[in-house]
Amino acid sequence: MLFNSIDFALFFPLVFILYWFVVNKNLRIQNIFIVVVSFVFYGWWNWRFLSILALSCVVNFVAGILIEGQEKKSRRKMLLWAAIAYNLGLLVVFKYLNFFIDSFTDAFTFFGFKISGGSLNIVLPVGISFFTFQALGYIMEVYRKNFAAARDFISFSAFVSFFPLILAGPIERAPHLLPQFYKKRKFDYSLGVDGSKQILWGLFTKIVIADNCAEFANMIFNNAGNYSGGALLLGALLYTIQIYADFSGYSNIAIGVSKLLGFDIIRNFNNPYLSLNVADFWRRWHIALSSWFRDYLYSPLSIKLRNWGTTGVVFSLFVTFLLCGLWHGANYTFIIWGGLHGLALGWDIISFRTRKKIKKKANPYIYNFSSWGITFLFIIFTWIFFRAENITMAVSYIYKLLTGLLHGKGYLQMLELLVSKIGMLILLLTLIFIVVEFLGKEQQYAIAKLGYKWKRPLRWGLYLGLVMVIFLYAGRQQAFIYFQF
Amino acid sequence: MKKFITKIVLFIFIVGVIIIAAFFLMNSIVRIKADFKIKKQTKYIVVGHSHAECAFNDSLIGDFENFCNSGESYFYTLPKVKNLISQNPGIETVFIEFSNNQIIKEMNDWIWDEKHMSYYYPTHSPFIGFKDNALLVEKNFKVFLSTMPIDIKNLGRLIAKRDFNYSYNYGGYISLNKVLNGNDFAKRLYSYHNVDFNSVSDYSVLYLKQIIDFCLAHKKKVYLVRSPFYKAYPGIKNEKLFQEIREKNFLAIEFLDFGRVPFQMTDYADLEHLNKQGSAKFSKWFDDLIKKGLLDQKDKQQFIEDNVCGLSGFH
Repeated sequence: MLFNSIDFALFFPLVFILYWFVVNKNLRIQNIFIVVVSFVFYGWWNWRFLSILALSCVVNFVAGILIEGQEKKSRRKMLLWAAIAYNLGLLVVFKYLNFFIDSFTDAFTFFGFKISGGSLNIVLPVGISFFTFQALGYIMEVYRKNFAAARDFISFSAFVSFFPLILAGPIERAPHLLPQFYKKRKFDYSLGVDGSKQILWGLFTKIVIADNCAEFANMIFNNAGNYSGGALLLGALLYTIQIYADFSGYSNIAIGVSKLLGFDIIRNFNNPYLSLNVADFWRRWHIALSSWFRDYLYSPLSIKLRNWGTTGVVFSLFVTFLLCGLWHGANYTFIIWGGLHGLALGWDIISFRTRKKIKKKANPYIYNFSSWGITFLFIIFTWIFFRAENITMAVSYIYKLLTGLLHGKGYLQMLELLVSKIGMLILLLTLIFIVVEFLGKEQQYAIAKLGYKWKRPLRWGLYLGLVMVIFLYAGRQQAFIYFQF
Repeated sequence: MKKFITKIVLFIFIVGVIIIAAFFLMNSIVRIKADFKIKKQTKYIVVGHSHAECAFNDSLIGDFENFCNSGESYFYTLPKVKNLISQNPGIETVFIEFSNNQIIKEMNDWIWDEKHMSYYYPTHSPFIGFKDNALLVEKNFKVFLSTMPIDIKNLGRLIAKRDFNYSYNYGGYISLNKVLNGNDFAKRLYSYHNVDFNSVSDYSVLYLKQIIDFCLAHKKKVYLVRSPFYKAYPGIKNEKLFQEIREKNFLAIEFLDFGRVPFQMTDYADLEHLNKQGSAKFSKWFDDLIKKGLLDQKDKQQFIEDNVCGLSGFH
């Protein structure tokens, strides 16, 4: 079930009313209700995958208790690795098996051995990377003794399957979310209003900005051979806006829906495109995932390699981001995307002293603007790998983009696209979006405080205006990009 | 909680009222202003889907105009016919395309599936009655809802441009330059492999009846016509059922069958659409038949068959 679908528009009000008026008397019943509606929500897409979700709840619940109950470090470690193997095994089977078989076959063919690997017809269960990582994070916290293992299976299942987060996060941390299932929840008026506004902004961002940008970005990326220079740059820029609007829009809806049910969820985006360097970008983009990788992969790895000095840190970063790329999908394009970010982060560390010296001497405005510009261009460039279907397509796109930059043809194509009726509309709406996002950059989401002090009719006018724009200028419905991961 | 729910309900109510008011207001404006006036000398019109749209080149037929539209079901043809007849007293005769694929169940999709509703509903919404709107809501509420913004934007555009000319903006003769060849032939044949030709769309029959009743009530002559199709056209599979439906429901309406008029493969763009060359031949011949008094003949079908030799390139 998509957040931007009529199904959800009917499903959620029903859940909301039952949640606060019928099952609110008893915490346990309320949690059971969350589990049931989460399974319905997940099964709406394909009920056959409910067993994977159910198994994930059972296995991780039992693993948590076993790890906590084990005093011997070696046994704890063995149990931890067993739980990791189970969770990653799920990902390998459903997400990466065909990719590994194909890569293996290609490697043998490259060296002159012809083998036939075949491929399996495996459907990727949506959200598997998200709920698996959420459960894995819980196991790690229990292993590190930072968090007591859950003893209430219902609360734990609600934590793993919580429907606003199950399909595309944010990947919540057990110490933050799980205790919220232990406490009785009371409806908070201001949280409810805040959540509703966040949903509204998320819907606008996704339906109006992302879906409209997607139509143009798809047109350019799918027919890249017909475009050059400026038009390809426009395509990459539109995709840069699309992916942010798509995923931050999704996160805002997910967080807003959670707020309406009385839950506090971590922030997932913090103006990533205002970053001054790549490390800064990763503190602001998909915060839930980047902090997950930082805490559970990068930190332990860099500690293990601490004797290597800076090389160890750079190596750990590179490995972390290669895997972060792989997490996004079973395709070399994602691995290269992750690898490029890993290299850029490594460069940030290596060049830190030199940059510090330059910063001291340079005009701060010019320095910051240049840093922002270089970072933003780097991010646009890497999104090309992220969007391309394969490496050949990405390389050819970049080659045509760069070689066409000095030719007028591409810019004419760009103008032609922009001055079309739809192009102008997208441009106008996107500009409004960028301005509002910029003005609201200090807030958790852009319109959190917008119109806060206005008189009610004016404030309601703003919200009505947003609803009308969503209603009238919705792009063709597209699935959320992060669903595929 | 009470305060929150009250405010949310009030907000949704206001949104709903604004959207519904805009919808009704714009529809009313367009309904009042809509211009379906056509050339004064036009006595004959043809309505229907793409078969007739590509067959009747109205520039070659005297006092005749083609108002067919590709993919248009009788559901959407009904308001068009109502408006054309109401605003043009000069129309004497209405030809309605009636071919084999127009009775099959798949025609229901032509009324309410996403592809058809999102295109035809915004075009015809000001003229679609309450009951018919209710049918769309009942059959495909999701698409009906998603069509509303397209409709409001479309109506807004018409109002802003003051362009209320409906007669020549939504339909008319289409000239196809393609020539049916072996490859297309196989592809086209394959495209029919899933079509169930033995099912019947009750809604198609119902709305065709309503079109006919409206024409007869306004004292217009009505003929069902079947445009030419290539001999290998698989739609003909349901011929027995097609004739049964015709005899059961439209026996009083004369049926002019051009389906089996022997055109050559090079006259077709595909299995059921004449191309430019074919439609020119057909239209000139049709014009000739009308001038020779086809519509005054007692046995019109016999008259058509007797005159097949007059068709250009007939062997």
